[in-house]
Amino acid sequence: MELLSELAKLFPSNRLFTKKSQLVAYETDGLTSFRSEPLAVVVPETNEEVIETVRLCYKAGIPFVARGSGTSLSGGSMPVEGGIVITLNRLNKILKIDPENRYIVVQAGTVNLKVSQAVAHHGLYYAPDPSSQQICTIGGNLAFNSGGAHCLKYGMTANHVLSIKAVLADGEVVELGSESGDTVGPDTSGFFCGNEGLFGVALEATLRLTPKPQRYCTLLAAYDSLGKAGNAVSVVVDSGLLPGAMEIMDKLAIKAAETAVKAGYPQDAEALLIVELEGETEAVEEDFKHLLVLIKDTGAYETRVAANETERLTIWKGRKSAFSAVGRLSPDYLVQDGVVPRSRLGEALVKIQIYSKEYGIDVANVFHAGDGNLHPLIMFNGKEEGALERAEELAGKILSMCVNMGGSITGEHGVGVEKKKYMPEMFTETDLECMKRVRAAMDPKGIANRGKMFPDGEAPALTTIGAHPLEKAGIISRE
Amino acid sequence: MENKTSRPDSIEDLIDLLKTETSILPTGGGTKPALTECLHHTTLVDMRGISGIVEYQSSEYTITVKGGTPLSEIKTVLKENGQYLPFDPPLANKGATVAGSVAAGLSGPGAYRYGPLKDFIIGVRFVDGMGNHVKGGGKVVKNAAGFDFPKLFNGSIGRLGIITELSFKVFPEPQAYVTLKASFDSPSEALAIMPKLLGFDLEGVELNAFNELLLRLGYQEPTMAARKAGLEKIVGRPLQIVIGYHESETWTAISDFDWKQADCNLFKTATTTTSANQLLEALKHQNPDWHLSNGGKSLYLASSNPDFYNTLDQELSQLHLSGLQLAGSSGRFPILGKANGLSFVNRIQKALDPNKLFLPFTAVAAETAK
Repeated sequence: MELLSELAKLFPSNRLFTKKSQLVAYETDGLTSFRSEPLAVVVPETNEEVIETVRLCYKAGIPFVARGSGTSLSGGSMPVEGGIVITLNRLNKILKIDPENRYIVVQAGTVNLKVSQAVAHHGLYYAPDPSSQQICTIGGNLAFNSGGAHCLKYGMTANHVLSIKAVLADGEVVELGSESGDTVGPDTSGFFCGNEGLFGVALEATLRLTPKPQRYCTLLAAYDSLGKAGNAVSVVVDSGLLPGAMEIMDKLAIKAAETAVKAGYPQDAEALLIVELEGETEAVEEDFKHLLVLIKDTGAYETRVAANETERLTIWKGRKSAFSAVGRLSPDYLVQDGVVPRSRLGEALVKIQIYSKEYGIDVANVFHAGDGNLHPLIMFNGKEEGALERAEELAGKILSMCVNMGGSITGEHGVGVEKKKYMPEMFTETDLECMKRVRAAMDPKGIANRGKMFPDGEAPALTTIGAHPLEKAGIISRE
Repeated sequence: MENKTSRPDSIEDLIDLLKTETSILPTGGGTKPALTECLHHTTLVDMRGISGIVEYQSSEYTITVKGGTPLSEIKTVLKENGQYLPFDPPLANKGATVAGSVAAGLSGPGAYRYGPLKDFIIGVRFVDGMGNHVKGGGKVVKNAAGFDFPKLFNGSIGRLGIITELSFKVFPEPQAYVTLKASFDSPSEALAIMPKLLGFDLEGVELNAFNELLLRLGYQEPTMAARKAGLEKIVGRPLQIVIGYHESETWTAISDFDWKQADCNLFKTATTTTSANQLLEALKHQNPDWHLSNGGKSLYLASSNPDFYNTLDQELSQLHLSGLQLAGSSGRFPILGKANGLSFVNRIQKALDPNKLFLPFTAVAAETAK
């Protein structure tokens, strides 16, 4: 094949994989229910190699997908069958740090957490914190507009990207945005974020850095019903306080977390609420006094305040381990990340419980209550015939519910292959046609991550192969 | 020769209008007149007929409004519930509309605390060049479904589509403010302070042409003395307290651009503290009026010298910066200096407006009606 021989001229054999045994590691991403085999995998070490690969693919009309660490939970970085995978992990250099003007320039393969580590001594950090931040890359965060636990106050990835250098699907290299926190003309770098790889490949990004808060104040409140915890969130929000994070876990999730990491959570609680305030020391401590008074009146039967950083991290440890912990309760699970308006969280949870009973499938709930972002963990046994399909159906019902309540099918994982069939529930044919026209303007041959986001096109068959190896190791989790 | 102006009262009227016209530019309150300069045969579409609040539930921290809604109306409704648009769009008192603010991509001094417009726009509806009414984004604060059209329309200067509806994330506003003020001998001396304000939750950091540094804080009685002392340590000099009427007037005047002379050309440039300093140095001999906003991210410049556009254009290009003309008439394309991503924008424009009903993103619009 001509493309392969062209790629062989560009890459030495140890950076061009074509054998089945080499390709198998790239067949899937964090969403392990879907898989497909690429034609080849290339491992570029320079921007020029990426650009040239894209140009060769375009010339040959062969699809490609760029991939970082492959932690996508929507199948976004899964290969296109018979296409090329461009792995960007070796493009991981930090190119510039400007603490004075609070930005950093990195290559797309840079790991999210490395950004914060690189600027910590300047009193700065990179705010978006998807739970896979130990290994997920900036390029992937950017393509899927990743979120995390702090989106109500701090926004998503697109809010923290100042400029982008990218190669579009037809090989043109573009520079979007600037180092300034302000913009002139259309916010192109903002628009590029969340394109799910359908426009092309980001090579470098300039990221906005955030000053580390002087002080965190964290509390954990236990409730005897999910409803009371949900109402507490409304009370906090209506009071005019703006927490950096508000998280709720239900009974099943609490049990799982406690079994896994022994966070010392109250075991008889039906729901736990974590609220964290952060900012300038004096102001936050004053606000926290106010918060404690508010929480007292919300019917919490136990409230714990983190007296120091160790206690704060213990509170968070259980929450952050909840996902991998649920893996111990069930051989397989699916997770969705639909969003509902916050005031309808209680209603949404009741509905999920009803669906759960209807399908006879256990669902644990952990969610970012501050921004209405649900994370129902739908448990099933993949060895049972039809179990995966039923779990998928239940997941679909939850997504439809989110849209009907005025929310979204995805808060932070992206559409990918997993949720593309639900796009017409959120967008009209006119909306989708318009997106397709823009996509065609960037990629006239439709080769960049073909088959993702839009409802038409072939979807690979569902299979069950269990959790991702990194998930089993507790390094990544599906939230 | 005056341009023809139409004022649709509904989306249907707007779509019908598009069918009969050959060149269109939407307008709002006319508070940024340099953005509505256009060709003789261009019809101005006054969007103030499509106005009103569509949905607002304070506990959701979101609001959805029609494009022609005056900012003042939105601010009033939010204030009644102790909330505000944290990107603090300017010119509300002068009649600016919300879609006009978004199309201009303008954030005000309050954006220092939580970020500019791009951080708060979560949904948009617009009519494209073919008369399709398209939705992008949503109405919830977190959403990753589909292409992010809301971001794209931030700064679209009426050339990618006509904004009919917008959704924003909103936040609780401090119940009262205090401003702390210190004078410096030069802009560079004050600019050196700005990066050191790291970690302080300030509601605004502005530097005016008198080299006065203004720091705005949300008022919280028990903590004021300690916070002031902490800031004085950083600033290295005593801070003067401004409160009450004078305090609010100071910030209203910044939002209304009252520091500049009427009828002169007004430009916004997107900067960092470093590049703002470089640009001010480079323009010294031109002696423009200036105001540095949002902790050094937006440098506003005003001049009545007709050649200032050219000088600024050149200096911005040299420094790899870009600018936007907001007021005054220069008969030129309103974007100056280095325009990053123009070919990317042109691809999008071709997709949204294949029949070229909207003005192009080039200096072709130079021969204006005026």
